[in-house]
Amino acid sequence: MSRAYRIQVSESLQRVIRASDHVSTQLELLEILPCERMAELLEAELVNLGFERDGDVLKREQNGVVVEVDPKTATVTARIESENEVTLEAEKSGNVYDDWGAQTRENVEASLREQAVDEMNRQADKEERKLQKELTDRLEAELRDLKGDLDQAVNRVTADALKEKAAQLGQIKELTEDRESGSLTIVLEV
Amino acid sequence: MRVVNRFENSLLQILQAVFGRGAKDRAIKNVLREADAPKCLGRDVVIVIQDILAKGSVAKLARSGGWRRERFLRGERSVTGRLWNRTPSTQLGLNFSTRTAQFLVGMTAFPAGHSFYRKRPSKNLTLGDRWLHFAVYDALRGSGFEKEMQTWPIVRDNLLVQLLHARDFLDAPPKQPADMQSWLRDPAGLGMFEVLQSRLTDAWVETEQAKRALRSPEQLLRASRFHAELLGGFLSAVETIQRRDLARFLFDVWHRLLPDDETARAPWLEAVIVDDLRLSERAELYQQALGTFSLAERFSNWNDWARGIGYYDEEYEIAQHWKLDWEQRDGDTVTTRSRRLASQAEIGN
Repeated sequence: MSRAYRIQVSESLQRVIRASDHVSTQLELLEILPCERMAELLEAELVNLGFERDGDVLKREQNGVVVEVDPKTATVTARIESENEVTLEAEKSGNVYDDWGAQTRENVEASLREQAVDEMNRQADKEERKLQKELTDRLEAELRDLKGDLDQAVNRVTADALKEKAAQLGQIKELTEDRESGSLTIVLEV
Repeated sequence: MRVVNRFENSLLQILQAVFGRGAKDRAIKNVLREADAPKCLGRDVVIVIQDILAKGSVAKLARSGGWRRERFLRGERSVTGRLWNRTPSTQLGLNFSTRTAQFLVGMTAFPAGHSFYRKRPSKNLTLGDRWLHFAVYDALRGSGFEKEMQTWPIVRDNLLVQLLHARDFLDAPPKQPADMQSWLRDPAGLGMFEVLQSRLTDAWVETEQAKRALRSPEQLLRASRFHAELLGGFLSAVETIQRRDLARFLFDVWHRLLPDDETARAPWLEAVIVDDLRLSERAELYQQALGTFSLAERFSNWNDWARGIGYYDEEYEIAQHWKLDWEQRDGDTVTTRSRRLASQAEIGN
């Protein structure tokens, strides 16, 4: 008669999980003045909004979201990335009998270890999806504010460019501007 | 009086059904069953095949829109009239090669699913051969047989099938757009695109509405990528040969899909499930899915080009033709609405 033994294996794993997300878009700037001048005006507005120059781009970080604007091409990129170190553990058990050969017992143990590793990989995937979802939600929330800031910047750049263009065309007699509605009236004497 | 054998009779029944002169059910039964093919076709049946192809093709194209008095470019001139008034009949002929006969014999002899239908189409197909492949799919779809035909390379790689039946391929779009040159370098091929303008409009309205109802992001992305490549390629091809007028069906597509400003502002893609997608993946999905509307940008560029052409420039007549198309189809309004809708793919929208 054979006797049963219980084999228990436990595995643990430390893994760094990474997630990231990004979106890009183009600001719709009217070509009122030469491109270089429009880029300068955009840069000035963005600096007012808390952006800082970093090489060729202007950068701002808020709530983990990095926003980069290339004033020359008016390209905006918002990105977020994060990593977490997680410790994963899994335990598996199974029965072996004393009349099984040593090789069979080793195979059972190896199979249990494999199952434990599979389970940890599944846990890691789940953690990664969770982190990814969290980042995407954060980026989405941040974009709502960002869109408002960028629209505001574009409106101001357009207004400043129009004023400059008007001054080139003649003498400004009257200028009425409503920043809230974005309306601008310029009376010129040419 | 023409005498044909039983096999030839089955072949003629298929061909007659393709050109609307016979029962489709009987034709499909003939395609589905196996029959012993003769070594060669009799003289009488060849004469009848030629007759059906000649009269059937003319009737199909005339019914599809050839009868309409329309205005299209001929060289650098605008010409108005029915298809046969716009183009000399000598330029409207279709050549059918021996591959047409081989295809008809194969369809009669081999049952559906046979390796005969899996052959890649030859590069030497004539316009007539390609037209027949389209006509077969066009006539026999809708009878439960289309799923089988959609797997045939000669159907999948056919430009008219891809453009007029894009909706049928939403599940499994072809790998790449079909060769366009073989259609667009032949005056008869150009004539086909002229007469099929209203069918192209209907086809793309239906396709866009069907895409809008898709729930699977993978399926929507796959189909939209193919559509962007297909329509983008078509616009480039017609621009190269100075036949922008062949793309004007898109004005009507946009007009029917976006009848007012409100529709253009309302969210377009509400059915697709994007909850599990990253924002970068959503952006890519929206960009591709709204690709047909983004083409309005290209139309606006064409209009800018046309407005920049002066009276003494070589392309003056062509530019005037485009400007008239633009004006008659209210280009400013429809392209503004389309571009507005396409902007839903942008950040924060």
